[in-house]
Amino acid sequence: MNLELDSDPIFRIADRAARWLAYTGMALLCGAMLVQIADIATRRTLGFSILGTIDLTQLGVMGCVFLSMPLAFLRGTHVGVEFLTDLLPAPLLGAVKLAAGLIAAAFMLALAWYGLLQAQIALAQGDKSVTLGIPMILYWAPLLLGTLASAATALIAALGALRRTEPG
Amino acid sequence: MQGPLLGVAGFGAVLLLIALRVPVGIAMGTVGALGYGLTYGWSSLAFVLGRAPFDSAFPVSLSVVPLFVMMGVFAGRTGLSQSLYNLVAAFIGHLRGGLALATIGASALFGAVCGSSIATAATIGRIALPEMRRHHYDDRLAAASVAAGGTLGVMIPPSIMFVIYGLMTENPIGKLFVAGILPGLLGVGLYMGAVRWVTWRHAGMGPAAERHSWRERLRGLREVWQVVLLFGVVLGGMYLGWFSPTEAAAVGAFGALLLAALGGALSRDVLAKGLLETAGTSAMIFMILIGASVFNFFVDATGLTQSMIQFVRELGWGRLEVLAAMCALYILLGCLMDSLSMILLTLGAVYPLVKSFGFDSIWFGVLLVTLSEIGMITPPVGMNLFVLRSVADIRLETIAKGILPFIAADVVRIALIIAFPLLATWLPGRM
Repeated sequence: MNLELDSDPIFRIADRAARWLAYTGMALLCGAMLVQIADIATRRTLGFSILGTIDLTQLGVMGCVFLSMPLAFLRGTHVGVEFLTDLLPAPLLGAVKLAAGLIAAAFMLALAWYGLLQAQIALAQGDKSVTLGIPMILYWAPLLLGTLASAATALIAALGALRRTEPG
Repeated sequence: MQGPLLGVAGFGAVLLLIALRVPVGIAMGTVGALGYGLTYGWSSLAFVLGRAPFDSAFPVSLSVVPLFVMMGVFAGRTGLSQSLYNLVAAFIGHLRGGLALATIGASALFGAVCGSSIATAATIGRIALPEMRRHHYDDRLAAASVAAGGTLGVMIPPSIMFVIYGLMTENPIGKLFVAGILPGLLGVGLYMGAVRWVTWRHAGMGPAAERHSWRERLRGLREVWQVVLLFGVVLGGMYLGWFSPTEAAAVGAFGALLLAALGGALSRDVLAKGLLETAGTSAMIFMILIGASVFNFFVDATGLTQSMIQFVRELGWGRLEVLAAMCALYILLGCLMDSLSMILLTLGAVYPLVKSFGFDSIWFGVLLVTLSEIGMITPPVGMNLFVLRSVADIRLETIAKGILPFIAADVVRIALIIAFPLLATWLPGRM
């Protein structure tokens, strides 16, 4: 992380929020992992499977994937190619970084918006998971929260990158 | 502009956005969305954008991705890599170029518990580079051996790349893992050959280190039992049918955490950093998967794939020509973008061509992953080269100068895999 960004209150708040979202996602993944381990253990020793292992694993992975995304945007973890534009003069480089960040924010916002429409359909139809009957809206929740928060962190990261490339 | 031509323009637009610093997943997703909207209308696009992220993460088989990432992260953060390096260096470090050979060997062993090339290069690099510098190794050989050794993490199971390939092409992940073993070992041998060739020509580039006693070697063997156990349980369990690849990933992640805790290496700080690293890597991979999913909707809509197959048929090319063209395409793309993005960007269009020419899909998976490994070490966008630059502050030019013998070794490996497909198909055929 950049020192200048570290001292920015908005970045600090966003980083803390994104970290806790990521921890929550990882807790869900660890939960899914433990359910699978328990399922293997009971299947091989006692001869029965834990009901709903697949439902719970899917929920864990959805949480892990989407709740981790805002942090990845904020810390620049997503794969990108920088060497071609690194040679640009500072003002132009700043503009390129801002444009890239805006595109990322717009795309994530589009995913959140259209995801919301699909989630509303799932909610209205009362969709449930196959085995445990978990309402599907719970699977959509991390997606909606994660994509929306990612749009915000992509924007914050882009503005931070723009500030770092400003002369002086 | 419409149809296949629009599809070709789409590939160009993705590359342009990537060149302008747009993250790869976002670039694929944005172009895919706009292209699909142009082709099928904007109302259909709402469904694609609404479903693609959900469907890219929901299938239970995808749980292997974050769980194998977690296994590798915690195996790397808890001292396993140091034990592996010490062991191999104790056996062969006294040879000329021995520490570079040890780097290759340790990378291969670490690859057995870590499915990522970047993670393997970064983890082994932090240990091996200071040791080689202490023994006055030339930076070109030292850095290149770490960068090349890192690629073995992708080939030797478990491998994230095989998981992605298997999920996208509906090939069994367990068979792909097993298929990677012999080509992975071949890679170890050829990379070691490259080190020996370099030090045979320039003895000063890799001076011999001190010889270790058998007592020290045996002590080193005792320290790596954890790796042997973890690898044995994960791969052995799958091979013997005790559990599915999805479950194997959970066993591997749980095992890595458990071994770290039992060894006293799982402090609160290590746990927190490991979890955040797993989160970041998983998010990065899934972002590319989501982008690729949207982009593939667009490519399908343009009919590009069918046109490409028809075009190649009309050219009258045989299997060898098609294969040569694909190798050239992937080596070229590997110079420009990271391997996962390259595979996800192209596989939707290339795989039907592969099937239409009757290539074995498991064998092609191995070939594709080997080709992607070359991309990891070729400038200017060889990801392992960037990792080394951040780990050891070595100039990109220095690493690039040293990497050529290892690229030559990879070319030989590709030729052998093409000439002898059994290298990739024999072991899975026995499952």
